[in-house]
Amino acid sequence: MEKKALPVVRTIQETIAGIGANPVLLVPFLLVALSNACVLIIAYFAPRYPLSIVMAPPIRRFMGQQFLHYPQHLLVLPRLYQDGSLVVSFIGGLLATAYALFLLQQYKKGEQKIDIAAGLLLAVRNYIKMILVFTLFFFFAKVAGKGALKIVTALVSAPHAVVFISIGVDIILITLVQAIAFFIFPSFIIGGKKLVAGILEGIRLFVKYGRSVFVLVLLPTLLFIISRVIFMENGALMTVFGPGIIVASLAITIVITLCVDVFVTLFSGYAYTMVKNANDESVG
Amino acid sequence: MAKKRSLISDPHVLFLLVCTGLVIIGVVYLSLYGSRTYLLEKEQFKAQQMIQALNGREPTTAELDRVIAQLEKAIAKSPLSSAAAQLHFTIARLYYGIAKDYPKAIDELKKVLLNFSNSPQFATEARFQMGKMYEMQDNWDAALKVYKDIYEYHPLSQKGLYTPLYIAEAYKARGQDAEAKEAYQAALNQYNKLLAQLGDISDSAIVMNYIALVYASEGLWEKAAEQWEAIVKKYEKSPIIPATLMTLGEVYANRLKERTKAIEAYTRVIADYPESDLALQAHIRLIQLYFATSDYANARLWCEKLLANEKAKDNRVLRAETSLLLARSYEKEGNWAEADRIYNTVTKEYADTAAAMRVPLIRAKHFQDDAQLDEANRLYQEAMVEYQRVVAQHPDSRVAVNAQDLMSLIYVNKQDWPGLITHVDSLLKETKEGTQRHAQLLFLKGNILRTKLNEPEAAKAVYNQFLVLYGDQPLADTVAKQLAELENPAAVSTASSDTTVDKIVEKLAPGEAVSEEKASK
Repeated sequence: MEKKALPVVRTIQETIAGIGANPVLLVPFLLVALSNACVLIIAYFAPRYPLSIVMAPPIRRFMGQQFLHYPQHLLVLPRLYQDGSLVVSFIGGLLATAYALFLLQQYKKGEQKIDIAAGLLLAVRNYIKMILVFTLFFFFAKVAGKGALKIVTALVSAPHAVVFISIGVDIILITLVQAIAFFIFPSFIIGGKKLVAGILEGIRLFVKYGRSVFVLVLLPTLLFIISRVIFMENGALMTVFGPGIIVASLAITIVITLCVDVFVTLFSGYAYTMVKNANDESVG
Repeated sequence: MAKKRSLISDPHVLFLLVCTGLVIIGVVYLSLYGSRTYLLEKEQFKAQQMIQALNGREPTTAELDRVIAQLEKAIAKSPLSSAAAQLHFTIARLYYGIAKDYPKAIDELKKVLLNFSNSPQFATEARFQMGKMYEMQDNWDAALKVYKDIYEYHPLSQKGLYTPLYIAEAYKARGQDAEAKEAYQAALNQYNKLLAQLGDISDSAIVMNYIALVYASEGLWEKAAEQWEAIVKKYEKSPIIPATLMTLGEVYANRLKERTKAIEAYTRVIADYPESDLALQAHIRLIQLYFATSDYANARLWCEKLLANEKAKDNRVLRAETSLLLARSYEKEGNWAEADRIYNTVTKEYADTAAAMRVPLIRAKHFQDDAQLDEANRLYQEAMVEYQRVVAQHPDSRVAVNAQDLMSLIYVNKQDWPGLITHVDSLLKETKEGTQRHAQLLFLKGNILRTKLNEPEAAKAVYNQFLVLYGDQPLADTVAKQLAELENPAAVSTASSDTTVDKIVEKLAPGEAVSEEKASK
């Protein structure tokens, strides 16, 4: 098999042009961001009636009564948000990714009228495959992250240096995991592959275009540095702006996650069609 | 040319817009119609930050006004919530505690009555605090009126039950004996009336307890004990029974000198309520009682029971102190070998406790009492070096304070009064003026000068310094009395004053709470 490079700049250009021509591509991601915003709103209003009817008992049970009062409640807001957002990622995030790839495929075909029902059905039918892959990579990233943190803390002693190096290692790990999985979801949705075939094709394409894929994933993922730094400096920011800054930093995280999801998913979709078309042409 | 699609007409975009709209409506609803207590807490936090910014200093009038204004802003967010009631109390406290503005504090408490008249907890607390403030303004009539309102409107609340007794005790404290007698009778009438209304329910035990407290306050200990016995007999399922039995034990032991009945009461707490927190206390009181009557075999028995108790398993301090008492019981019976073995165990197993720190001193005292003075002096010397090492190793710590006080005890045991005065002087230099410890050390110095070194002029100077610095402390009365005795030497009682220094040093030395010496007193 001939080893050809995936043109990074062309992929980015095509993606941006694609979004410009069909802004509807953003809708699935905006819905996920809206769901994350709902999680934040629910977590923020959790100690107040009427949400407190449902939310107060678990917070009281697992965290403590004090976390139902201002300002301690804001201190657990990131944890509440993270737990809720994980549920959104596992359900809404995967369905949105599948539907966005379906939209991309349709627009690429030149379809003007989108069959929403067909798209939703495709997303649901591929959900099990996607969740298996996502869970596998999610836990791989978690374990690798914990291992890396242990190594960093063993090697570096200055607390600030540990935090900065951890952020760097974290970003590289997220990038690596997303890069390995880069072609797997498009291979399910656009390529119509089954579970094992899709994974094998995704990994084969990653091996073939690894360097370009890594760059394509890294560019949007670098945005996470902003949210990580904001959370690292939350203590200092709180003394200046008050505890309310935690809500603002979570809102910024939602926006950053939206940007990363949009670009990584659409890059993967456009890159997949690009390499498939190139293969078809070379075969032809 | 293909007609460009309108983005807004796309069903995806429409769906997104509808969802966004619903979320916005949800946020608006939660903001406007949700509970507002959280917003109160937010404003209250700002007030707390304003207080913290003062860094412990007293606020100026302008600063205090700003804090109060912020608290009022917080109350306005949710004026009928219980958090708002608490903030009214905070404002009242700021008015009377810092600004000494009692009328404004009373006005603030009246707001609690206005908004929370149906809440016994808040309404009674507000009235009680108002009464206290009227008392501070020497307006007893107004105070009496609000106190009476408490038990009239909320007779079965905690304050409602307490106030009749409080009124009688207030008269007694003011020296108005006739009025006090009348108030005690009124209190009894009130409690009996409540008992008649309640009938035979478990809450009646609490009312009966107040009847006993009235008798106790009047010094009628036998009648009080009868009431408590009646409670124990009639309401054995009531949650107040363990505490009532403990009270009975104290009254029999200290007031009525009926040791057997006291032992019976404490033993019942242990037997019938082993899970109660008071069970451990009952063990300790039994040990103390047996020590006080030189019944070392029984004292030892209860020490062993306490050490075997599940609830005491993780309490290292209690176990160390109990082990010391166990050793002491052997020592008192002349079995020094066994006592010494246990002292060794305490030193090894509880090395970080105050009990272990006392072991070298106890050993030295044993040889001193046994007239083996060379060995005693050697051990005192070793103990002194060890305590000095502890002070140097953990300066500004509780352990260091403990070691310093044990050093004082060595001087007392050796009757080295010049040495003790030098030691106390050095401690006074290290201790911050205005603290409880500084006051105690100054009091001790005055006593050494007065009773041991026979330097009345120097003692007077120290006592005067004490009264200037700590005139409002409970010890001030004793100091003033001793100063008066110095002015009139004929009145000085040598017999009583000889033990004063030892007593003070013992009080200073921590970890003596369950010591046998203290128990006997």
